[in-house]
Formats: sequence, structure tokens, C-alpha cells
Amino acid sequence: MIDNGAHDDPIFERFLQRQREEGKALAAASDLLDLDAYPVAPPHFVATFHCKGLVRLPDDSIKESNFFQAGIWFPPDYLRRADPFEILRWFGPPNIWHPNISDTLPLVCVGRVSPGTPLVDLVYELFDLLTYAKFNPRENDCLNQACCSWARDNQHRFPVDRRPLKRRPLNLEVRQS
Amino acid sequence: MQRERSLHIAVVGLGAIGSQLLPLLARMLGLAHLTLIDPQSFAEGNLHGQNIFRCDIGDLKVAAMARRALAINPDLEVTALPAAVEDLPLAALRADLLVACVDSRLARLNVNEIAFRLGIPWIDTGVLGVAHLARVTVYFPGANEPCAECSMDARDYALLEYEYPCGARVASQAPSDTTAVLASLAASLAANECQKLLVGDRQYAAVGQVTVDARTHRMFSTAFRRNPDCRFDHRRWEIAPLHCSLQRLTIARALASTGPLRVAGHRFVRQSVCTKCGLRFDGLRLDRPKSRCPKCGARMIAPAFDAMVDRLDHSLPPECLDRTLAQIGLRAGDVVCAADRYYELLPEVS
Repeated sequence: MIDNGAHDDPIFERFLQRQREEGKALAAASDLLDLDAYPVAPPHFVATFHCKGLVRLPDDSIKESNFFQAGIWFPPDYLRRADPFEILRWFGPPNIWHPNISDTLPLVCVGRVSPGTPLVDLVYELFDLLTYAKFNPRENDCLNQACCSWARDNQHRFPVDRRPLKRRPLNLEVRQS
Repeated sequence: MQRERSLHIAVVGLGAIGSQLLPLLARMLGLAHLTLIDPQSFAEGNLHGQNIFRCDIGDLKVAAMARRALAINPDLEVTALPAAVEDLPLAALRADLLVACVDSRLARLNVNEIAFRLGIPWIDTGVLGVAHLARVTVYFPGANEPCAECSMDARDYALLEYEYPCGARVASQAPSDTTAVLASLAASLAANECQKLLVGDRQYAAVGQVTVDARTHRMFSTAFRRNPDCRFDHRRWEIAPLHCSLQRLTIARALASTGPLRVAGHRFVRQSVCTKCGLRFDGLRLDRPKSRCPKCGARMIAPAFDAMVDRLDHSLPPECLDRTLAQIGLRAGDVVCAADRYYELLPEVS
């Protein structure tokens, strides 16, 4: 509730620096993720996913798409408190089709977030949601009710993208013939 | 004795333990002022576990308990604040002693932080019904004193209760199963510590935690030490008074006299949206953590990160700078921070 009163808290600054480094390393090792740090107030991260996910078109058909964006912000007291309403924002596309991402408000719910959860873990949580590797289709506990029953009936389609977020090392060995 | 007559206790939470504690405090010699804080009302289901009467059902807990305290001691000054502790101006919690009778870990941490910022001793109470345990913990604020977060590790922080955007509300992982008997035992322990602190018997006050095992009739006393790795900084804020008219003082004039301003514990939003019905409000205002939609009661949030304003400064658009402090939601008792100094907003002295 109350912040530390010090926005130049060195522990929090070190935490943020570590998140920037780890995020950069993950994005560099991934073909499906771009991760940008925006230094404007309040400093936040924008994760752009190029994995397959689902969107609903104006004719109500469900199609695959491969461009999704979410914002991640760490409040100054994040190492002590992690209010799920504050940390994540859905940036788009607005016609996302997922039980746990709102198609009317900038809300995304990844479940429990412990204070100090690293950026990389949140990015993986978002990736798992987008690819339907993880979802919660309960109507009384979701952000898109229309999508819940659809998701229950179409579980054979999930996950919609089986590629790992981090590309696997190939370990190719070149032998001279 | 004259000194004691001016003493003031603030009680946060008037549920199982708080409702048992109130009559004990009202009978306490030397207490002059009680501040009661709880946003909820009594319901039928509270009759069996809380110290209330049928006529209290439907009333705000603070109102019903204020009536009870005044019926016992009409000389008491009672301030009833029907709000969540997080949403109150910080200075509204200023008292000689804070007592937390809450069942949420998060609310407990908020009281801990408020007490340390204001430099007030505080008493935490709790019960664990399944194990027949009642406990009371006393904390004294100070840079080298233990706080409620000193004994917490990552697993404890992970158990803090939050609302979730999907509508789920993660409750405490360990339900306390409060019974009226255990609650009254915890309330008696707390009242006993209040009495000692009020008369200045600090050497006999529980330094740490006292737990009574009502099943085996044993009592345990646990001392805490300051954890050097505690995530809370334990800092006390030196708060100076700042007399002003919130209805007349514009942001531009406030900035001219103090420089960039923050409100301790809160941030501002340029726009807010209801997370359920989508109702939108435009315009700069203070975002209190538990602010609710006036239409449906759901949580209001800033729709985008750039709609959040950490501090007031001259980069705000002119139409914002011309608004008064009251218009953006500041209230008397809010603590503002400017150039690393803290000021309590107080009404103008005529």
C-alpha cells in the first residue's frame, strides 16, 4: 500500500537492472519474442509475441494470429507486494480470443503472482496463455465468458503453438568427409 | 493520570477479535479517544462468532461498535472511519497505539507499515481455531526493531491475498477458523498489552509474540529480532504540518511552493476504468488502492501505464495544473512528499 518513499531504492534498482538483462537474454534466444524496455514514466516492458494465438474476427470465426503485445510494469514496492491489477496490461490485439484475456478491457490474468516474480517468469506465463498451453475456462473466474465454453469444447486444438519460447540449441557437429 | 487521559488507540478491524476487544478498551481507565476502522457491515452470519447483538445486523461495524463504546463510557471520544485502512489518509491512523484485528496478511502488513512510518507501537492479534491457539504480538517502531515483515520469507509473501482481474479472490491459505471463545482470549491478551503500554509499563509489555495454547493450557513467548534482510526499510517519516485550503490551493500554486509532489503510498491517474462494467473517468485524480466503481462496485484501474502519474510536476497539462488539491481527491490527513520531506495536509488556520 505505502511505497518505500524512495524511488531510488538501490535494491529495487538492482532488481530492475537484472530484469532488463535477463529479458534481453531471453529475447535474444527466442524467435517468438521481442522484449522492449520503455524508460518513460512509469518505466515498463512491452513483450511482443510472434507465436500462434487465437483471435476472433468480425464474422465471429476464430483464426490464428501471430502478433500479440502485453505490458509489464513493476511498481516501486513490487518486491513486497504484487497486485495483479497493476502489473500486467493487455496491449493488443483487442480481438484476442482467450478465456483469461479480456477483449473489452486491457486486462490479462495469469493467476497468482508472488512479489518479486522475475520478468522472464511473467513472460513465460503470458506465452503459455497465448498458446493455450495454460488456460482457465471457468465462467465465474475468467475475463471472456464467451470463450470459456468454446475453449472447453476445443481442447484437442491446444496448445495452438508447440514451439518453445526459447529456441533449442541445435548442437550440430560438422565433420570433415 | 492526567497524561493518560489524553491517550488514543486506533483499532483496525472489528470482526471476531475487534468486536470482543472494543468493550474491553472502552472500560479501560486512561483511554480518551478511540478510532475505529472497518469498511464492512455486520451480517446475520456474524452473530455466532462476533460480540454483537441482533440489532447491530446491517449496521456498519464502526457505527455499531462506536455505539457500544459510548454506551459503556460516554466520555470517550470515538472516531468511526468506515473505510479500508489502505484508503485512509495516513495521518488518520495517528494514535498512541494501533491494534490490528484483521484476518488478512496484506492488511496486517499495511498496518505494520503505517505504524513504522508514523512511529507508533502496534499490536497484532490472531487466532488459529483448529489448533486452539490465540496470540498477540507487540511491535515497537524503530530502525533496529523487528517488524511484521522481518519473519517473512518468499513463501509468506506469496501467500498475500489479492483480488485478480478474472474475478477470483485468493483468500488466506490458512483459514483461522475463529471461534468467539478464542477471539475473546486473543482480545483479552491484546487489551492486557494495551493497558501496559498505556500506563507506560513497557518493560512488562510482550516484546514479540505471546501465544496461548488453549487445548493444552500452555503459553509460549517468542522474541523476534530485526532481520537485516527484511524487505521493508523500517524508516520512520518525519512529517511536518502543511496548513492549506485543499478547496482553493491549485496544483500550480502547490508546486510553486514545494516543488514536485508525491502522495505517500498512492499514485495519480489521468484516466480510470472499471474492470467490470467499463465505466470510464477522465481527469487527474488520486488513485486510492481500493477505489471502486460507483456503478457496480468493481475495482477501478488506470487503463494504460501512461495513464498513471507518479508525481505532480510542471509537465502536467495546464488544465490539470489549474485544478485544486481537493478536486484531484486529496484529503486532510494525506501525507505528501516533496524534496524528500513529508508533509501532512491540514486545514488552513484562520
